[in-house]
Amino acid sequence: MKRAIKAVTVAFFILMLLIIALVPLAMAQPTNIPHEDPSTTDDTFQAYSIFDAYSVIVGFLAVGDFDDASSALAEMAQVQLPETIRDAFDLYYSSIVDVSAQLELIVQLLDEADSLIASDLWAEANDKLDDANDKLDDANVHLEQVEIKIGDIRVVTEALTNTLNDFILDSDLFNSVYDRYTKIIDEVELLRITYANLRQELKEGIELDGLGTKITLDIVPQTVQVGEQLILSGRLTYAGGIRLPDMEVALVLGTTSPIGVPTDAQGDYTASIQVPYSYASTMVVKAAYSPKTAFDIQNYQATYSETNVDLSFNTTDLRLVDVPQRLLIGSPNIISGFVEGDGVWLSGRTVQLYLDKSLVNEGLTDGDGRFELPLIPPADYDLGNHTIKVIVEPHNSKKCSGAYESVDVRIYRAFPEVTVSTARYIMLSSSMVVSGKAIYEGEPVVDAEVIVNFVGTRTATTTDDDGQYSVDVSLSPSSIVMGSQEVSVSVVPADAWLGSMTVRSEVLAFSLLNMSFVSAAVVALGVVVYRSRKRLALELAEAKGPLDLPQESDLWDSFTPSGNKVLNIYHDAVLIVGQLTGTQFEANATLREYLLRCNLRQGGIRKVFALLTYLAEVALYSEASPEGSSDEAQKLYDRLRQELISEPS
Amino acid sequence: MNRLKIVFIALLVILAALVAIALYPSGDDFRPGNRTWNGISTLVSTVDATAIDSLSDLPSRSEGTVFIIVPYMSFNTMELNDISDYVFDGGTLILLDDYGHGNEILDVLGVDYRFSDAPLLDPLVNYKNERFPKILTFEDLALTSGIDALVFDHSSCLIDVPVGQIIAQSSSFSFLDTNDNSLYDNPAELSEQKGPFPVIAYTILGEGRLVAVSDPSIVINGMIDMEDNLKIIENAAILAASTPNIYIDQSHIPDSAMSRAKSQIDSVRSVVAHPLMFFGMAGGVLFLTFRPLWRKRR
Repeated sequence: MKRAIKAVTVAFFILMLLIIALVPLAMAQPTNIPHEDPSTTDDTFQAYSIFDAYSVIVGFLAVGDFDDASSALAEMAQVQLPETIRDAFDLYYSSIVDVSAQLELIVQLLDEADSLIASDLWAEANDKLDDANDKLDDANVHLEQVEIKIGDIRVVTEALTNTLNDFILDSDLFNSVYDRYTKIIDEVELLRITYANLRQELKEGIELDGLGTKITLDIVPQTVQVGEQLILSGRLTYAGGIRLPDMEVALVLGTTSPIGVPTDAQGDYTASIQVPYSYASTMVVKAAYSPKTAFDIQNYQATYSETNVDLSFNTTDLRLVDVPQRLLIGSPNIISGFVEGDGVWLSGRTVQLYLDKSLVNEGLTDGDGRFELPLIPPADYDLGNHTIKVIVEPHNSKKCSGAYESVDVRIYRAFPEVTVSTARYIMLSSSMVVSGKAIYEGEPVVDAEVIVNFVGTRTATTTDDDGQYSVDVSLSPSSIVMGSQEVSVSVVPADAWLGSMTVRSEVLAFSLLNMSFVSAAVVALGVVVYRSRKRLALELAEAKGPLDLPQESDLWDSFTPSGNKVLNIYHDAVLIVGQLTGTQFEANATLREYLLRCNLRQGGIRKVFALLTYLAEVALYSEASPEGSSDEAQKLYDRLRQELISEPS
Repeated sequence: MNRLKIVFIALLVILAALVAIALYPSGDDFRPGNRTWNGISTLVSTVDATAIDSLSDLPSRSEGTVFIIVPYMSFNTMELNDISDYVFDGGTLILLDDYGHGNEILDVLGVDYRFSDAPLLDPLVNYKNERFPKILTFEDLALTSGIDALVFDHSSCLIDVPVGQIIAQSSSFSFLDTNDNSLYDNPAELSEQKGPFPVIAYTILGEGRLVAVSDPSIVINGMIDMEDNLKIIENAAILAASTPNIYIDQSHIPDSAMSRAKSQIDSVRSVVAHPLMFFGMAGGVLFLTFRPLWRKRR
């Protein structure tokens, strides 16, 4: 029990020493590197910051800073919102976006109207102001919705506050949002005033500028093919029908630039204009008059007239036949189809192939209207979902419209199958052969780079025509330890459409040096432990104290049984030696310990008494004394006496 | 307790401590051997980078190579000249720093911008909390191809970057927390600036390139797989060559006591593993082992 307690104490002591030595060492890190484990960091949502940000955005709107408001709203769309409050903030977000867009449009319309009024383009300015008025009405409706939604958010937030401590918001922030919201109302009111002023300015301008003018517009034919000529004609009059000669009328077809045409002496104008290649069903045609000279500006109003012309053209239909759903990166993927128009296959039409927004191929349809375009996704292209767009260009000379089709595809990369063959174990520092094969769909992967990594050793080779590889991995004895080691084989195919593949295998490694070292260390440790245990046993025996031995007289009684002559002789010798050396025979001493304790000098006496001691031990511990031992003991005793007598004191 | 016993226990403790230190995994920041969150084992294995312990290990011909450096220890003049030569001779330097000694390198390279040394926080556009700002604004360049977002970890920003050299910026909600209270304070009172701030800059210097990123932690194991953090390093590497040799400096990252101890044990082990030393020690051990037997026989 005592030994067990002692052993546990020692083990505990060792453990404590280890902990004291290692824990501070393990915990010690350089303190000046600021970063944090993202997996353990706290997940906090700053509702306050969200509201603060919305407050700032509303502030941007209040001062008409739509660019900053727009970019801030775009960033707000990226904010990760907790599900619990997502709906509330989405409501707020969408309302703010609506109001932002509405206000921006109003400002734009009023700016345009202002510009038109400044240019005395009264008619168009009037239209712009009408639009602005409508938008102002819309903005008011949106603002009312925003006000309702802010109220909703307040209710939601108060409900969240009761359940989530994180979302406690102060009333000042809400008040701030309301204050800025009020400023938007002010901004709208300001825009209304601007609108009213522009209206008044327009009215005054028209009155100031003099008599009203009127322009008529006729087109022939009513339906025209794109690229053909359209004849526009009409008359410019003022004051209820007075013709205006030698004025310039601006004619506009669709989105083309205005073409100036003079009125003749009768105030009539006519022009033949090529219809642009616009493949829509109708096109707006405008004739406008704007006074140019100071006299004209003072006396005539601007006016305009517009009508629609129906357009005809040859339609183009695109039919995709073969579009793979999955595209193998780096390899050709054929996209094919037909182009037809009005039931006829169209040859020589240009077909463009776009991958996302990049033009990747272009070709012409053959005599059967068929096209086949290979699409090779670049080797470094992002894997995943993408869009292919096939566009048939309009054929203006044949007055054919264009067509397009979009298809969602998935770009992927193929990987070879790689086998690895190694020895199951290796005795270091010999070399090791790593071999295997790389195939893809049963075909060998040729000229692929093969990199073998084994315990810091990197060896490279390439696959042969059969897709096979074999490398001899040389290993340094000092660079490796025993045990299971990983062999990593990376195959990097030469073809871009095949991805790199890494395969791992395990090899059991033995190091003769390390094994010898460990074995020797174990043997040495065993010896040390054995000797320690032996010494420990001795100490334990000492710690127990003297044995419960019989008294000296009893001992000699037991030593001197009748008939044991050798012990009797030894007894006599001890008396003599004890007398001469002053060394008494202690009760717990053995015969041999007494011999050592007597401290007899080396030489005859010591040797004689040693032999006598030996005979006594034999007599004491053996079942039967050897023949003649008592005679021998007697001789030794006599010799001892003789030696002691002749020994100088 | 006799002397032999004390010596035996002491040897046992020392041996156990040495084994424990040798086997205990490295936990140092930015170390390739550290597989925990703050190591860079994932980056090193993914881009097949080589860790170097001295700038003298840089290749003599820098063209087509990439050198990643996290400068958390100061540089001497010779080292700064080595870096300057490396870049101007055609190497691509990816300088990852936030509060370290990156400005010494920027200074010697002669660029105008610097690392701010102030914490960049983003209370809204972030991962989990404001200390992990998310970067969403990028210039449309080859360096940012295929990158939609980055996540930083306790980053700073770059200041005085010329407009044409800004590659990525933080959101307009981010701010520099100069007084470290994690809150945006009124600029009139405390001069805390609000974003957007440049966080990545790209500059062509001589024949080479410099990519400065204001957070080295994007490459640690815990961050490298977040959003497109790995992609920005890969893109920067591809600027140098299609399959560049990539080197990562280890000589300017502070060592922990554990790391130094492991290094020293490894040195001792390499000496012990030498055949001559081994046979000497084995002979000694065998002599000690069999000495008791010889003594007994005598």
